[in-house]
Amino acid sequence: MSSDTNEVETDLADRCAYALQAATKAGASFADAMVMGGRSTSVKVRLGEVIEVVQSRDQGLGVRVLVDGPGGLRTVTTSTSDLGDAAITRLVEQAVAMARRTAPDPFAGPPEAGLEAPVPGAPGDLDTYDDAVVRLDADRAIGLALATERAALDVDPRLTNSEGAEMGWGFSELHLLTSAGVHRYRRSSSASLWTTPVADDGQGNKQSDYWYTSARHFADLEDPSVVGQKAAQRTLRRLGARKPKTAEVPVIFESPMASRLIGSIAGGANGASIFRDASWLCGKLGQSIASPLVTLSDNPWIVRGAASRLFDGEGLSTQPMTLVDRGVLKTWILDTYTGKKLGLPTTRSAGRGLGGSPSPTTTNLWMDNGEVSLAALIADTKFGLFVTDSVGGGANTVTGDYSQGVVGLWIENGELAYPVEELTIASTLPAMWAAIDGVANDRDPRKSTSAPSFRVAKMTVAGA
Amino acid sequence: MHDPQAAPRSPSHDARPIDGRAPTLDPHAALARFGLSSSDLDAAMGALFERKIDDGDIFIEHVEAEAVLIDEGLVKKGSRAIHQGFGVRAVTGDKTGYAHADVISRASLLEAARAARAIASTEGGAHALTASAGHTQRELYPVADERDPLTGDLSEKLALLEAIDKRARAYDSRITQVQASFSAERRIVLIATADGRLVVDVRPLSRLSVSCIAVDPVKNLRQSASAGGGGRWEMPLFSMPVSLADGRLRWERWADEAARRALLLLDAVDAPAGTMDIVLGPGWPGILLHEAVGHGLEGDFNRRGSSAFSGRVGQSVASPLVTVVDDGTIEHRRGSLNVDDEGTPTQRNVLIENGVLKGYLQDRMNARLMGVAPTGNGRRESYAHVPLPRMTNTFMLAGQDDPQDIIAGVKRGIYAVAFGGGQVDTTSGKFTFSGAEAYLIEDGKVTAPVRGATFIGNGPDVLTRVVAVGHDLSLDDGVGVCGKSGQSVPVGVGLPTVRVNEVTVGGVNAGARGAA
Repeated sequence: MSSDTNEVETDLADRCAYALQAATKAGASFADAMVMGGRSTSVKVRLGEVIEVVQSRDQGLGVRVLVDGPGGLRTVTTSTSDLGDAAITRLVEQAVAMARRTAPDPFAGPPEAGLEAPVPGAPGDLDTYDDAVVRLDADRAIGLALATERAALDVDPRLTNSEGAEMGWGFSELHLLTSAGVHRYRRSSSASLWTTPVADDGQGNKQSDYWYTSARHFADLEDPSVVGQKAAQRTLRRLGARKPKTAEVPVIFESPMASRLIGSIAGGANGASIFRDASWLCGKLGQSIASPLVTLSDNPWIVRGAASRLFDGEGLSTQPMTLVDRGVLKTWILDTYTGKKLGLPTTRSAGRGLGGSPSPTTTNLWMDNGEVSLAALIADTKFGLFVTDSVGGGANTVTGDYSQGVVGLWIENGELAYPVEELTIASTLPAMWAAIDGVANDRDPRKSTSAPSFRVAKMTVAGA
Repeated sequence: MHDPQAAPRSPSHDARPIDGRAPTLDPHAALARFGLSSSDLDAAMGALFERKIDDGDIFIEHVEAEAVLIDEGLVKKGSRAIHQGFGVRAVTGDKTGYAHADVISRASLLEAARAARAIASTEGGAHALTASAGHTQRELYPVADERDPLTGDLSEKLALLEAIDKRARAYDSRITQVQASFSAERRIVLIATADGRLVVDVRPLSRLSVSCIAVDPVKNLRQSASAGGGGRWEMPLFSMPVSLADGRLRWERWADEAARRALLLLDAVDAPAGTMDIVLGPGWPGILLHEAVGHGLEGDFNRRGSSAFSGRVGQSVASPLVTVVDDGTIEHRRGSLNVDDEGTPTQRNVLIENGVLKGYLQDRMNARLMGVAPTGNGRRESYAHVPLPRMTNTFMLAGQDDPQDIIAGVKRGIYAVAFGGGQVDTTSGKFTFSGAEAYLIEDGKVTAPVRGATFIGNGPDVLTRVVAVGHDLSLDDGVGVCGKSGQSVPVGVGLPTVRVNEVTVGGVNAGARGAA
């Protein structure tokens, strides 16, 4: 990455402070502002040649204003990538004027004072910034991308083509200031590397799949040879896929797929869905919503974790929480607003983009490992489906319906027998989560949302 | 793509200034608003072409956006945003160097040009100066001069949202939640091309969305549904009548549709599982084309030979009843553009004609490398993204069949009229789309509504099993968002009523098998 520039770097914290002053002057009774700035680079190679280099410089400011008036507070959010005084003043004035014309909301309000104080037990530093990532030069990155693609294509002669390999890296910093005097700051780096080989069975049938690694620290990335070989294996095992017969069978979700599924619990437990009575989990707090094999937690404190953070989108100090304990739903995921709507304290889970209001989100969302290996789980399954990837569809977290296009491998007599495609699986979320009867021990701790492979005792598989 | 919800024109490269229009339409005035002059662009282009490159451009963008949302009966959230930035691109062979930033100045343009050109190692020479300048000749979505939709009419928008909320709640007492949002943006893009053109395009885009939750307290069921629409037009068009036959205003119909669909799902039965014949209703079900063939016909996948359609131009890929078109030139449509994001005028491209594959969707780079002309499909999400070949408005031309006869001809199957979204694996060709409103067909009659099922098929052969095409082509209401390589762009789709045989329906009810 090139760091030479003849321009003076913007003082981001100063831009936040300026926006807050402008908001107060325009008549806001409370305001908070978040500013982000960063640089990143990506290099892409294909069939041994560099095909794309992209350099990015980004900055942006988001401001939320709360304006008092008859009946209570009104909220408007605003954002800009132009950090000059004139643009900020104009935008904030427009936001306050707009707020005066919207309806009061008795639940709107600033976060409770004091929650920005450090939580006992929190790490002092999450170590999310690595100089080795920031200083990575493009030639080295190109070398890593080339090695990754080569490692994939060298695995088997049927890998005849490639959608390329890409390495991206960069850093960003973030300030969050409130008109109540809170000022929080964090910076982070990230690097990622992926490749997508294409396999051909010689009869014109093509398949592709990918593998990737991403990390805050350069040293935490998987080796290019590992990434390439995994991508190759995942692609090759799709060749010769058939369409299975429609049936009801046990289904094992491989870890990457299982990781996507745990979002259906986190999404359903999100306070924004609960207060609207728009979740399959409404009324289920404290009840069993899944098999006793399922324990799910959200931990923002993982050192070097992909989604780790010491403060949330409202500037409140974060804390870990158990979402599901041996099948029992323990908490909603809340920010200040959704907490007030439900008469509960915030779980300090506010997420926030530059453009919108804070709303609840997860950080590092993990499902605990089970006790058996994936191989043992497969061997324990006489007939069934091993799902490795999805194509569209998914869970409806309002109704609890689940229907998804998938690809995978058919299990016969406890062994992976042949690949399958052009099939869908369907059930309902309450039935699926309750029917988990086996959990493997293969969770990938490098991912921000991760679950081990698990087996659902029975689902409808639609094929031929 | 998803829904979070035609007249061909001759293209022309002759750009000229339009007199008497809003100042933003004049390229030099637009440049001036960023504190730039054409000499700054020439300096940056000069820096870019100091290396030997095949193509290069500068893309400058300014977006102003506004959104208001009604929730729990109150308009209690609003947002405004201004985003701007630029990207400089150098292309040599199949290699792209790209640098972008959101600080727009001569210095940052020059820095980006030096970064982008590093993709090429050979010394270059002269380049065309940005001599000619002009607004695109087309006016597919004229913007009112005086009335900026983003600053005026707030009270009109608030009143509209309140009316939608009232209407949807009044539809039935089981409607427990209504959310409606209005969002609008005005995007100004300036493109300086390697051949010396400076093109400006001012693109309005607005959208109204309504979603409802219906609860059946006896059965303890809840369902959600949404409706909405929009396009490259401004507020007043939301209050136009739907059609001569349907006297409701557009927003009234969307409020009714969201409520009706949520209630319908409360009484829906489990979808069947297995392979059966399906009938797709007109309009938004055109998502079938977008997923089944549209992505697979994008030039980049085909140049690289990784699409299931690679090397198949001239071959039969669909039933002779099928003609598929991608047309970026339809007035006010969500997927329409006067020029694409590389400055190429959009056009009407026939992709499949009477079942035969005619060609691919191209941006400048892939067109050059494949030895064909660009088709006006080079699109990017924003200045921070490299252009890719993308769809605009993709639809199937009308056939001869009566829609009622098409349904009557199916013994057991599914009739689907609305979808949530879809996805495709362009390499294997397998695609899916998810039903939002669908019914069983039993003995030629539409019977019980079924709960959301996923349909899955094989792109390269699904259109060969189209056995009937209705005369009722319609385009969707204007809600589509298409995602590719992390970039989202607005698109449109359209379809007449069609019957497709042997599609896999992913319901939970494996007992109720369709006709084999």
